[in-house]
Amino acid sequence: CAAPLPEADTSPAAEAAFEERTEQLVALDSWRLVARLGLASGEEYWSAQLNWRVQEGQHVLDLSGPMGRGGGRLTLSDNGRALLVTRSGERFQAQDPDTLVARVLGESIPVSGMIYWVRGLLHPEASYQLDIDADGRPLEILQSGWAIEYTEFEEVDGVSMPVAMVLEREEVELRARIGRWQLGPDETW
Amino acid sequence: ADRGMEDARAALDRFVDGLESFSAEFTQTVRDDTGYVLQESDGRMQLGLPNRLHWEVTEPFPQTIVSDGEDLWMYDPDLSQATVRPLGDAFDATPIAAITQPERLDEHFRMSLRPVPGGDALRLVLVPRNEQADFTSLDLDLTADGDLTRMAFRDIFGQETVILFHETERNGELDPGVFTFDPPAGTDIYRP
Repeated sequence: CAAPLPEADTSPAAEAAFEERTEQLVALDSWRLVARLGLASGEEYWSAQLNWRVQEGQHVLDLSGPMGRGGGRLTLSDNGRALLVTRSGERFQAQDPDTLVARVLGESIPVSGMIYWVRGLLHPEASYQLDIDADGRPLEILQSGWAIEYTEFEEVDGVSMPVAMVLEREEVELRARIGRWQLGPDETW
Repeated sequence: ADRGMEDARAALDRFVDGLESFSAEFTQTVRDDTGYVLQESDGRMQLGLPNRLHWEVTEPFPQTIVSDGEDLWMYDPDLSQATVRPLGDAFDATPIAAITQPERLDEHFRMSLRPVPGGDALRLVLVPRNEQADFTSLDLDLTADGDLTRMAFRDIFGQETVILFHETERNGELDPGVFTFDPPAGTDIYRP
């Protein structure tokens, strides 16, 4: 069964480690991950595969259901504008991704927060509560009404990256399992 | 090329005629439009025409899809979550429909033929007539004696899923429990 969760640590060393980890990751403007998402809100459940690519600040999130079906492609340009194209070709635009996803998929997926939380980082412009462990890895973040709990990490190029996390707010629970992390640009681009 | 199309239709007919069940092991590779491999997994499938299915992939994300003809279960062991919903027409206009509803192929798809590089198989290319379909084209590779060796489908983002079948068996003995799913203890079950 999963190893017991490490203890929260409030020592200056732990905080310094968290700062250093943050600086390392914020410096990278290209990264990518492949994840499995399970979203439960009330009686509604929706699972999907997420292919999230970031290149020089431009985000492309491909969401697909089982056997690569359903979902669509969400593109975020660095000024925050969001474009969603569903797999059957419908196009939707909005100033920010969260209202767009809520309107189109009817689910409240906090994309603008996840840009940071998925990497175990704090959203820079929101107040927060944070528990970290002795190595400076986040255990739990409370921010923008969401509680993000990190239950498993993996070393990627010397940085501890989350591979299992749960995001909760009121009756919405989003579980994410990350199967592949890549930090830095992709050679095939 | 008509000769080719006739041979391809004949091969397809040989595959679907009298087909009651089809089981196979497969390797599934999903690539995005840049060619980056999103998922490479081994899997097993059992199909009981017309609409009973057991589809299981192992990594990187294990997932099980089971239809008993009435209900459709989708189970994510990693997330210990499962959904069950009435099957309804969930299979229509899906790649599986090309095999389970062969008599409606012409109704659902426009068909053409493409040579298979270096293989003796014939590649039927099926383009859904329904614009809202989730995939833009589906390839079925069939050997002359009607064995299904490969299935591939692409979507509007250029994402391609390729499924290579091996250990295929037509109308083989299937254990009766294969099309029923009982979720392990502790699984959160949703009935949207």
